[in-house]
Amino acid sequence: MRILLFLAVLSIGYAQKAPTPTAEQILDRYVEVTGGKAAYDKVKSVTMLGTMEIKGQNIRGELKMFRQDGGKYYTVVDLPGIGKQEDGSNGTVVWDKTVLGPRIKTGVEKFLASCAAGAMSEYGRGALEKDSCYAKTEVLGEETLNGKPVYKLRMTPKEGKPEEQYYDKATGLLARTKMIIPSPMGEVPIVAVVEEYKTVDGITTPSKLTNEMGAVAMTMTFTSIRFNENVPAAMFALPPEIQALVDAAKK
Amino acid sequence: MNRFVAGLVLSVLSLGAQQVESFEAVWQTIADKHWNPKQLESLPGGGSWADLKDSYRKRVQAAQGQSEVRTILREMIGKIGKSHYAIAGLELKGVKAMRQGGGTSPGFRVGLVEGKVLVTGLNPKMEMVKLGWELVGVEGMPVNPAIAEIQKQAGQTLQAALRTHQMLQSYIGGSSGETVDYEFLVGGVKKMVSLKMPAGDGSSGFGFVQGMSVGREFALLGPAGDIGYFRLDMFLDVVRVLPQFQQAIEACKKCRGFVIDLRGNPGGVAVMANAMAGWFIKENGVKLGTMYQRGVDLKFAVIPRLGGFEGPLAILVDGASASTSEILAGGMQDLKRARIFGSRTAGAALPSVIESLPNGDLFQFAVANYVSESGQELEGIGVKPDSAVAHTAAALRAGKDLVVGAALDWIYANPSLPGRP
Repeated sequence: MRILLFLAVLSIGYAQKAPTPTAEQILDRYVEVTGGKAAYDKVKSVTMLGTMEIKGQNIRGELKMFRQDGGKYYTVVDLPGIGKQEDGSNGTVVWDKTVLGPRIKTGVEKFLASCAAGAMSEYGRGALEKDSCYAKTEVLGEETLNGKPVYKLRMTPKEGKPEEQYYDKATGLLARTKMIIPSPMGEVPIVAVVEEYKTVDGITTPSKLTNEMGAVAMTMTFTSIRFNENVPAAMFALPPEIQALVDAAKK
Repeated sequence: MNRFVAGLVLSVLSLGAQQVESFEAVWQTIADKHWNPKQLESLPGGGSWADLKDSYRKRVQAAQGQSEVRTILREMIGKIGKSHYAIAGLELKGVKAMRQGGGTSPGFRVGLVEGKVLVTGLNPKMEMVKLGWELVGVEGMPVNPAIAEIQKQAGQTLQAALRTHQMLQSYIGGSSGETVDYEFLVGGVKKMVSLKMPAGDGSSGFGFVQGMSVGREFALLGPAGDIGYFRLDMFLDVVRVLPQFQQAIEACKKCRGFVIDLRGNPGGVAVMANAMAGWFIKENGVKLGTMYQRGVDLKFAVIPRLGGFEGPLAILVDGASASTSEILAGGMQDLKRARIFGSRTAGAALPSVIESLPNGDLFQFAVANYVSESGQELEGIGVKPDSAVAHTAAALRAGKDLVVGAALDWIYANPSLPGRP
């Protein structure tokens, strides 16, 4: 028995001394466990269809996200009583069209939106394209999140505020991201919690996420995720209101 | 007898427990949901919110009856030094005995003018009712006893004008397709009018607010029809209202001025205020104010619209203009982009909720703070109009809306505004 106890203590001591991986290793592992770089390299476009629900407020609408190589993306949420809220880029002009009106994004907003336009979307961004989006990635330590040990990373974008990403120590999957999103309404702190993953064509991607913003929690559930689907070019064309803003800015 | 005594003891014990539960609910709710916990650490009169708990709990435990508990709780929440915190007695529920119609407007609006319920507004196609008529009954229910009760309670009710307005609109409202009988007093003679409630206009609600018809109207006013007028009864139905507002602006390119009528508008979807303001603002980086919640400060940013209206803007408000109405009116006033006409708004610019306590009383509490661009908290204060104007019975009977009239006079006298952003 004493020998067993000694071995147990020894193993705990050994485990405690296991070196914490570097940020690069954690991010590389995420890419690996979700499909591997070779699988991601084949992805030229992503189509994600599902719903967005504001928890506890009886608000639920349709959500569609399209992304394509070249920094092109288009996202639309159609919320009952509010209407379509759109967000997009033709690869050059990054824009949104919400209740507030049409708007061209510039500065940090444009930079971060462009970074999020890659094949991995904003969830786990940096894992594939850390050199283009992030100036610094570092491990802050290990924590317990919902009873599971996680690695806590701080990712400092080349523009904008640092964000924290939490990777499950056992699975290597991203569990949570804490970030500060610049918007016309100011800097909005958001906690994005990945609740479910789905594997499609060999790539494991978040399929259910909840974004917590103060007292509001929005859950996005993707019922359909498709890679390399032929997305019409018109999907990424600038809406007339945005084109008018572009034209007006030239005058 | 024993059974009666046992029942009595149980009732008393139960009542006592409910009072303590109510105290706990009030204390904990504020501790959990006040928008700025730091304010609770240092109350205006000294001490912290946490310091109050034990002493007030003991007082509630020792209280002789619900009325005393109410007084104690009011004293406790008064220590926060803010409005929008209220304990309303059971007597408020008595007003619910007043007729509560549906969310469909009959095509006219009423208000309390000189102590009487008068018709203060008409939809464009309403011909059976006239401005200034006195409403004395709906569906056989006389209006005066209910008004007397509302006025009696006004002193202990926050935003009395807002509550009165809401009760009156509910009093005259109906369900789509329903026929409602109204009794008016016209020149001392009773006049009965039966009105069929219009079919639902398809207005979309938001969240749990559903089934409301969102009254709105665009017209060209003035002798030459050269002043745009847009009335909005509620900030809802975003999908249709904002495009209609855009059409109104576009139809008014050559107007001498524009009037937004928010009288009786209790608010709704807050960002509609920003969206509407965008049609009157030229510069980037402008905001109407800031909403402070726990962990998130949201600026009410205004995004300038191409082809916006640059002429004089008047916004009409009254004591029943609340929340989003106050954000729009107060913000545009701060930005010196609009002149405000009417009477002081409700001072209910904060998102607040009302919950029922275990003892049956009602508890109102704020979940955020709104500060206008000039740094003014609108909560409990409201927007003070630049031109104070109110209905009079005589003017209404003559078919005149004095508030609209004052706005038109100002627009004709002021072709431009200084300091427009």
